[in-house]
This record gives sequence, C-alpha cells and structure tokens, in this order.
Amino acid sequence: MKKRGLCLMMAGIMVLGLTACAGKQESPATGQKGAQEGTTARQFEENTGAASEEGTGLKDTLTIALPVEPATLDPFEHSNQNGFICTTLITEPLIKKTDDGELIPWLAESWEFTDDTTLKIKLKSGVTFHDGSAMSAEDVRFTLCKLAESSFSKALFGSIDVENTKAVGDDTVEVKLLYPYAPLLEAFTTARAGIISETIYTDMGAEAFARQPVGTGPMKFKQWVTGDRIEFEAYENYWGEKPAFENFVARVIVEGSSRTIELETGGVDIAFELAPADWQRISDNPKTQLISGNTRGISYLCLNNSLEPVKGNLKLRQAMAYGLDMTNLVQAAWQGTADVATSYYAENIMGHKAEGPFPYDPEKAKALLAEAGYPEGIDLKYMTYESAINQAFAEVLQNMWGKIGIRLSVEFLDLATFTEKNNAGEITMALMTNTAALNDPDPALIAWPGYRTISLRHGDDHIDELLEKGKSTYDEEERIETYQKLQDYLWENLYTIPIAYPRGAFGARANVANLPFYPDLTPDLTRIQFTE
Amino acid sequence: MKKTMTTSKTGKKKRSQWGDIWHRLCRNKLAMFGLFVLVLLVLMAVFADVIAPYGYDDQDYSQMLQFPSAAHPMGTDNFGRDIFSRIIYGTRISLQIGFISLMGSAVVGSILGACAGYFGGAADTVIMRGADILMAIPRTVLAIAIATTLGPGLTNAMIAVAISSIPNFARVVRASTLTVKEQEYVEAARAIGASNAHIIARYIFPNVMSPIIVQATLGVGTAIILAASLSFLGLGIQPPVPEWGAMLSASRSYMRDYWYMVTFPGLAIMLTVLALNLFGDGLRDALDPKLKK
Repeated sequence: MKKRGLCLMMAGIMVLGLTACAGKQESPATGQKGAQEGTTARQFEENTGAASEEGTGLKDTLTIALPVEPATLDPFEHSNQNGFICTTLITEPLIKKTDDGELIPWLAESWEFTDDTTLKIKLKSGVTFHDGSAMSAEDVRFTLCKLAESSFSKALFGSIDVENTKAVGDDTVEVKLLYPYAPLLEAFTTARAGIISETIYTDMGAEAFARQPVGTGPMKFKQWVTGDRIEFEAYENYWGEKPAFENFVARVIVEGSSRTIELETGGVDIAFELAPADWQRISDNPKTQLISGNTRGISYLCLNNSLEPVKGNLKLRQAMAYGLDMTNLVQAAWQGTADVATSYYAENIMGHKAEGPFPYDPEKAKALLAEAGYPEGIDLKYMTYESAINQAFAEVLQNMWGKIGIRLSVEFLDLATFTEKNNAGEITMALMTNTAALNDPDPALIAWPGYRTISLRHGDDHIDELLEKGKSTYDEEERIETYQKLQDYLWENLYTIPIAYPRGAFGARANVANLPFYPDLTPDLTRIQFTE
Repeated sequence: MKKTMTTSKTGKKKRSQWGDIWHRLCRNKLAMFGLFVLVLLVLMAVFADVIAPYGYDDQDYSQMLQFPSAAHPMGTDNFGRDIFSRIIYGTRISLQIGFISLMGSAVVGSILGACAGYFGGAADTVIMRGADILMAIPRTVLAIAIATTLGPGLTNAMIAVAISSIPNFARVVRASTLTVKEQEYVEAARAIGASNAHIIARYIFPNVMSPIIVQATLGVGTAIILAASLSFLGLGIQPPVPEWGAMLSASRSYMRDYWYMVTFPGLAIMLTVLALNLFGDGLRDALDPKLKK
C-alpha cells in the first residue's frame, strides 16, 4: 500500500518536472541519411573544437527552429511568416532590398515605369527552376497574376491588372496596374513574391506544390517530415552565388523554452520567436547572440464595431482606453519586449504621427462609462487564443478594467476557431497584431480597408477614402499628409485601441553572421555566413 | 447489517464498527499525517480570505517577478501577484474539484455497479462492457476529450473528471455486490418481499461502503491531478482563478529563471495528493476485515 503513496509522490515530482523534459534532444535516427551526416559533421566540429574547413565559413547544415509548422508552402495560400522563412531559400523575388533599403535587381535585370500604371520589367537570363527548365517571362506573368488574385496577397498586389499584364518576348514583362500603387516595388521584394514556374505549378497542382515547392532559389526541396522537420538541399545549377551551407533543416519546436534550450545546446543555429523571458539569457550567453529590433507591427485591442455595445458608442470606447494603464499593461504582457503604441502604425514607417498614448485616468474612465450609459458598469466578453502574450494580456486587461467597472469574461478559443470567427466577424474583442509586410503605411494599415471582413467592421467610408488617396499617390509629401490626417481621424474615433509596438528577436549561435534584424521577421537566410 | 461489535482488551466497553475503524486508523501514523495535512488544507480553503495576505488577483506592477521574501513568502508572478496567496486560494479550487467530482462519480458509479452486480445478465453486460470501453481509453485522454467537447470552465472540468472516474467505481462496487448479494440476509429480505430498490439501498449499499470509501479517498488525489492536468493544457479552470495546474502552465516559460513560480504550485499539488493517498491507504487498511484479530 505504501508503494502507491510512493508512486503518487513520484507523480507529484513529475508534475514539477513536466516541462523540464520537453526539451529533449532529438535522436539522430529520426532524420534521413542527409540529416545524419549533418549531425555527425556538427558533432565532429564541436568535438574537435576546430573551425570549419578552409576558413571560408562553410557549414554542412543550417538548422533553424520554428515555433509553428507551416500549414503549406504554397506562396499563394498563406500569410504565415514561418512558411516564408523557409521559402526564401526556394523561391526568389524579382527585386531584393539591401540593409540600407536600396532596391537591387535580383531575378529582374532592370525595371522602369513607362507611365503611372505601366511597369516594364526586364528579366535576368540563365535563371533555371529546380527541374532545369529556364525561367520565362510567362512564368513571371503567371506568378504576378496569381499574387494579384490570391486573397492572402491581394492587399499588396491587388493593383495589378490581371487581364492586361503580359509577357513581351522571352525576357520582358509589362505589368499593367488598375490604379497607381506607390508601394508596388517594395511589394516585389517580399518573400511572398517569389517567382514560380507556371508549368510546374499547374502540372503538380496546388496541393502537391504546397508540400513540395519548386523555385529558382539556391536550395531545393528535399523532404518534409510532418510535425518534425522540413529539409532542403543545395541546388547544384543555381545561377548566383551559392550559400554557405549545403543543407537546410527547419525543425518544428513548439515550446518556447525548448527552442531556447536547443539553441543554447547547439541543436539549432537560429531560433525564431523567442519567449520574452529568454531574451536576456540568449544575449548574455557567449555562445549565442540576440538579434533584435523594432518590428513593423502593432498590437491593438480590436473592438467589433458592428456589435453592441461597442457599436456607435464612442464614450464607451474612450472609457476603455482611459481605463488602461498602458505602460504597465505592455510591461506585464510583453515582459519588456514591446513599447507602448503611440498611433495606429509603427514608428519606423513613413508618416507615423505620435498621437498618444492615452493617459491612465480611471476616474475619467468611470465618468465616461457612466456617460456612455453604464453607470453600474458593464459585462463584456473578450475572446482570444492560447499564447503566452495573449493570456497575460487578457489577465491584466480583466484586472485593470475591473477597477473601472468593466467586468470582462475571457474565452480562450483554439487558433482555427478564432480565425474562423474572426473572418465571420463574430469576435467581440481581441488583441490582434498586424505586421506590415513592407515599410509603407498602406500595408501597415491592412486591418482598415472596408472590404476586409475581419472583426473590426468600422463601416466608416471616410477611412476608405483616405486609404485610397494615400496608396494611389506617388508624391511622398502628399502621402504623408494624407496618412497623418488618417491617424488623427482614427485616434479621435477609437474604433480600435492601439496598445503596443512589439519588438522582435531572433536567437542565433555566435558563429552565425550576416543575419541582421528584419523588421518583417522574415530574414533572407540565403545570406547567412559562418565565422568561428 | 453484519454486526461487528468487538470488545476492547481492557474490558467491557463496546465500540461501534466505526469507532473500531477510527481506533485502527489512529494507530497508523502515516494515515494520521495525511489526515492532519488534509484538515489543514480544508481550513486553508475555508479561511482563505483571512489567511491570504493578498487577494488572488491583486496585480502590483511594481512587484513583478520578485523572488521569495518576507513580504511575499513564495515570491510574485509576472503580474506582481503574491504566489503564496494564490496557492491558498487555489486550495479551494482543487479541493472543490477533487471532492465534488468524486462525489458525483461515486454516486453514479456505485449505482451502476450495484445494478450490474445485483441484477446480472443483460444489465451487467451492458453496464460493465460500457465501463470497459471507457477504461480502455486512458483517463487523461478521456478527460481531455470531454473537456474539449464541453468547453473550458470549472463546472465542465468537474464533469470531465467525474465521468472519467465512473468506471472505476462501477467495477469495485459490482465486485463487492456479487459477494454481498449471496448473503443470507439478502435472501431473507427477498423472502419477506422487499423490492429490488429497497434491497439495494438498505442491504447492499451499507455493506459495500468500505470499498467505495477507499476508492473515493484515493480517487480524490487522482481527480486533483487530472483537473490540474486539464488546467495545465488550458482546458480546465480559466485565469485569473488560481488553479494550481493553471499556475504551473502559466509559469512554465519563466521556469528557467524563476524557479519558485513552478515549484510552489507543484509542491502544493504533490502535498495534497500525497496526503490523500496516505490517508486513503490507512483507511483501506483500517476497513479491511482481514487485518482484524
């Protein structure tokens, strides 16, 4: 009988150690032959303490840790940054951007606007897809048209006139636009805009392509072990400079602290989406480095303006804003990895105007709540999905609003249900984060166009007018003026409450070089170098 | 009811059956320790408002992530809440879940088990095969499935825990019923024309009480662990209610730098379950007739 007590005592101890076991080392037997060789080579390096051969910083395998397994690698079917991190190695854009923000030709050789709505792109010759076929102007036209039509990339490429964009000869594409769109060239530099082959895509079918993408990039697809890893290997006939590694492995490690442990022990070279609590640890460790910076994102409290009681009740929305102690809210939820938001898009994007933040004034909030028609307080429902920040945010929100009389019930949904409800406009209120795909106000304000069906639904035409005006003007000063007007207007109307500008960070081993911080959190992994 | 009157060594004074059991229980030091801890926990739960130095959701942003100190004996969490106070309030939740859900499954399980054992035949087959099916699914998985279907929350967590422990009770009670129903006093009751319900209620249940009690005491511990696991997975109690499993879950990303955030809720679970098990084991020994002189 005592045995049972002992057993349960052990169980109790195991509860304590529950998470400690999560970061167990992968067994080398899981991978295929290539992966095993990779592991061996790395162990060899570590055991001998020797620098990589030849001193050129070549490494057999680049291993990264992703927090979420991409659902698909079809560029037209997702907007998940973890998918794009992988596909930057497989597909390449027409234009790339240097760290200084200068646009440089990549798959394009040159480009020129012949008028406001016509862009001529001349393509580089000698570029081949991984099956050996040459990249043609038709492929580029196909890719651009798909981008314009896909609901995931419409916001960036919707200006492309699908009917009239055509290939001129083998090496030139004439892109026609439905309306002038200022950030177009910037859009071409994103990971989304990787060129793919029309023949390969149609022959394989979207579903097969999603699991096994083909492009012109320096790495080609090798295998995808569902729930575990995605592997690429070098493409031998790559047209450009070859990367510093022969193989690439993206491991899926869901638990934040496990990703950190893997990075610390050398199991991965780069880890993405570090838990805020681990930033300092990574930065202090001499074997690892923290590459952090401001993202182009904004986290805001999205209120559903098509539902009572928020609908049409500005006083209530103001009460909500004054009832939040922004500094402490951001500190507690993001643990020092975000700054308090001062407007409706990030400070590093053109035209940002510091409007706030709202001062914390619970007395004023209570008064406003009474004026809004709720002197006795009000019961509201908040919906979110499971994540450390979401959970922390909800708890602090509940506590702070509780003090001014807003009694908040919190419902945790799984991500799929949340997305579904959000698209159907059924989310009452939630913390949402939008990260601008480009350094431009238009994509930064992606939540706002009236046609968007997410749960914001402001139904205010004036916003659409200003958005329209901003994106179809090429003159920078005029654009800035428009966007500042828009920020003033949004700040007055408070359809959503801006909360935080999250910072981002990658963790990398100390020998990883040439990995600057990318504000869109999608680094160009082809550039990675290794030092020792 | 079978008479179990015994005479103590010193002489004439007679003790009731329960007095006898209590006497034997008192001699088991481990069981008494378990009982002592349990009483302490119950007192903590009842007087939480008096004992706890802070409220369970008193967020103090100037005191975030403080190591244990005189002001905060168990430190503070990432919202500056006092972990000691949260653990005291958490006792309420855990004991509530443990006892209420166990009560539920004990009642339902015992009735089903007694029916299966008493009537036999088709009823037995249907009930026990049903129990077998439930038992073939690992308990945690079963509870997760139920909790997912019902949605998170205190009541639903209790239902999930209760349903998943019904088969255990059904089994234990059925086995004892099979023995008891062959006894002469049951036969006698049947001979004087007592109804089945009356026989089960008056003659069967009182005599299968001890296995039910033992199963229940040991089951509370398992139920608490199960509820904590559900909360750990985000399917049980929702924040800011300080459930121990949820506290473990919320602090796991801080574990490597702030050990105390996971240690104390973990210890609380361990101590409670250990106490319940020690007490349960002692009770079983005390109730077991084989140990009698």
